[in-house]
Amino acid sequence: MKKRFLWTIFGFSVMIKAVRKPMTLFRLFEKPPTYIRESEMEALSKNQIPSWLKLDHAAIIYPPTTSRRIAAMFRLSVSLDHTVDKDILKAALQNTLRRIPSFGYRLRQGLFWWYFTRLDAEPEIKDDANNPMLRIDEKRNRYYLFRLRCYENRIALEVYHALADGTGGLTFLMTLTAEYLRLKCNDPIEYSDIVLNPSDAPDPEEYEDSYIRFSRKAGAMEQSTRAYHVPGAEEDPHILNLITGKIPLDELKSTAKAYNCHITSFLCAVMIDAIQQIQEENAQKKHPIIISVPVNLRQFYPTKTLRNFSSYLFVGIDPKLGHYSFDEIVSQVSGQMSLLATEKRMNAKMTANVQMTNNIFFRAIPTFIKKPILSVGELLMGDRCCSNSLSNLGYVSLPDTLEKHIDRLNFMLGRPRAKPGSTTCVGYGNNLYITFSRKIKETDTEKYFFQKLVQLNIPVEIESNHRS
Amino acid sequence: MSYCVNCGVKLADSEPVCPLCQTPVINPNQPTDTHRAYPDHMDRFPQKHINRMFVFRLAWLVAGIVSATFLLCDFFTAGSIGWSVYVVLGVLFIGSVASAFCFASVYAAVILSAGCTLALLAIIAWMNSGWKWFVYLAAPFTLILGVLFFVCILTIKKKIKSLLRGIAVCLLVCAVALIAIEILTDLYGGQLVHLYWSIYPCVPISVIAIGLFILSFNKKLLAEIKKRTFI
Repeated sequence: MKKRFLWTIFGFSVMIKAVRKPMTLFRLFEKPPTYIRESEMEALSKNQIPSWLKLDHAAIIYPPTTSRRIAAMFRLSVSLDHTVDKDILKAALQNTLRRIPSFGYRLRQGLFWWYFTRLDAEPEIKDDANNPMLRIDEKRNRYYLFRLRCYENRIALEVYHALADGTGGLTFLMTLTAEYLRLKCNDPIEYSDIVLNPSDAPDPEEYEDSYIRFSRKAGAMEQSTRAYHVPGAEEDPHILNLITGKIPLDELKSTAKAYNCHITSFLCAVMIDAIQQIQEENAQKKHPIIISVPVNLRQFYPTKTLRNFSSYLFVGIDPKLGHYSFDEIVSQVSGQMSLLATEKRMNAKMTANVQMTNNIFFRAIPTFIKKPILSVGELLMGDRCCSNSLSNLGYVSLPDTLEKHIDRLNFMLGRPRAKPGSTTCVGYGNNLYITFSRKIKETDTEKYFFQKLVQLNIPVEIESNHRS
Repeated sequence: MSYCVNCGVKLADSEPVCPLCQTPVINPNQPTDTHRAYPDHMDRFPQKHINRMFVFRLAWLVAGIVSATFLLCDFFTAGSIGWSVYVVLGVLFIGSVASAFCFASVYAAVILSAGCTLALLAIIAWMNSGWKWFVYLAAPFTLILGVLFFVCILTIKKKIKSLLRGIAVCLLVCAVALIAIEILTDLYGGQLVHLYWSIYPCVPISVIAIGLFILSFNKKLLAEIKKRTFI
C-alpha cells in the first residue's frame, strides 16, 4: 500500500515537471532567484546570471500603469569636459552591462505577474532629443528597458523605473562614465560604492529584491486624501517641458540652516509655498497641498541592491485651516519629515506592500485582470494624493580621478501620469541641480519657486528645453 | 550671462526668453552662437505594428470553420440546407466588411460596406420573393446610412479647420438623416408625409450642433475649458 502511494506521488511529480518546463507562462511557480540567502550566495557561481527575474516589490506597479504614451521613466546625465566619443562609449557600455547585468533584461507578461528575461543583444546608443524620457519603443531599442543617449559632451541614461531606482541608475551611469574615461583617457580610476569596477564579477546581492529580505510582520499603509493639483493647459502627449535651476549649495545650506531644517525639507517648504500662492489665486475650494518625497531605504538597511529599494512619504499643509506663512510651512514640513522618515514607519509601509503582493488570492488573479485593478489603485492612491513630488538623489561625491572630468550632473523624472509635474534634484560640486518636468504649459510653480529662492538671497541660474 | 528683469533669476546663455515668465532677454553683449541645452530633434511615440494580412487570414479561417459547422449541422439535422444559409450569408457579410476596413481606405471601406449590405439584403429579398420592401425601404435606408457615415468620417478626418466644427456638421447631418428616415417609413406605409417623432431628437441635436459651431470660434473660452477640465 505504502509502495503504491509513493509510486503515485513520484508519477505525479514527473508529470508536473514535464508540463512545467516548457511553459514559460507558469514560471512563477518555479523557485524565484531574485532573493538569494547568504548560504546560497556562495553556491551561485559568479558567472551564473539568472535567465529570468521576478519584478521587485516596488516595480510591480509600473507595468500596469504603462500605456503606449506614458511610462514611468527617469533620466540621469553627466556632462564631461570633452565631446563624447560614441565608439568608446559603446565599448564602455558593454563592459558595464557585464558588471551590472540587472540592466540587461526585458519585460515580459506572464499569466499572473510580469517578469524580466535576460537579453543578449547589444544595446544601441541614441542621439539626445528635445523631449527626453518618452516611452521606450521596445522593438527599436532591442528590448532594453534603458536608453543611453549622447549629445555633445553629455551622456544621458534614461531608465524605465521597473528596472531600477535613482541610486541603481546612478551607479550604472557612474560605472559607465568611469569605464568610458578609463578607455578614452587611459586614467587610473578609483572605484567606490557608486563607481563599480567592471572587471569584478557581479554580486548576486546587487540584483536581489531587498523588500523581501528586510520586511517584517507588521504592515501599515499610509492614509491619503485628494491633494490640490495646479491647473493648466496640457501639452501634446509627446511633449515634456523641463526647467533646470542651478543653485549654489553653500548658500542653500546656510539658508536651510537658518530655518533649522534639512535641504529637502527646505525645498519642499518652498514648493508648498509656491503652490499655496497658486491655489489662493485660482481655486475657490481649498484642497491639501501635499508633496510626495521618495526615501532611499538603503540608508536604513545594509544592501547592495541596484534594483528598486525606495519608499515615499507625504508631507504638506491643509490650507482650509488658513494661510500658512513660510516659517509655518518650514516647521510643518520639517516636523512631518522627522516623524515619518523613520525606519519603523518605512518598514511598516514596505511590509504592507510585500504582504499585499504575497497574498495568495491577489497572486492568483490573472495579469489581464490585475492590470486594470493596479492601474486604478495607483491613480487613486498615487498621483491623486500629491500635488507634486520632490525626489532628492542627494549629494553625489565622486573620486577625484572622475570628478576632474565631470562638469555637472542632472537628474529628472518623465511625464507624470495624473499630476501636472514632478521635481528632482541632485547635488554635485558646489551646486544643486533642481529640475522641474511638467506636462502643462503654465510655469507658475517654477516661477514662484525660483522667485522665492531669489527673495531669500539664493542665486539661481535657469536653463530649459525651450523649442525654437 | 543675463538676468530676468521680472523674476531676478540668472539665465543661461541659450535662453532667448525667461523660461519662467517669458520676458524677453535684452542684452546687447549676449553671445549669438550659444550652446543649446537640448537639441531640436523630437522623439516620436512607438508605432503600433499590426499584421493586417495575418488578421485577415485568421478572420476568414474562423469564418470558414463557423460557416462549415453550421451548414453541416443544418444538413445532418434537417436533411437539407435551410436556415444555415442565412448564417453563412451573415458571416460572409461580416468578413467582407472587416476586410474592406482592413485593406481599403476608410472612404472606400464605407462605400464597399454599403454595397455589401445592399447585396446581402437583395439576396434575402430574392430568397423570400419580397422585392417590394427591399426597393422601397431597405435600399434607401441603407443608402441614407451610407451617406451619413461617409459625411461624418469625411468631416471628422478632414477636421474642417476645427474638430468641434466637424462634430457640429456630423450632428446636423444626423438630424437630416432622421427626418429622411421618417419620410421614408411614411411613404412605405402608404401614408402622407407627416413629421412626428423625428422632430423630438432633431431639435436638441440641432441646438447642440449650433452651440458647438459657435463655441469653435471662441478660442479663449475653449482654452479655459481645456484648462479647467484636464485630468
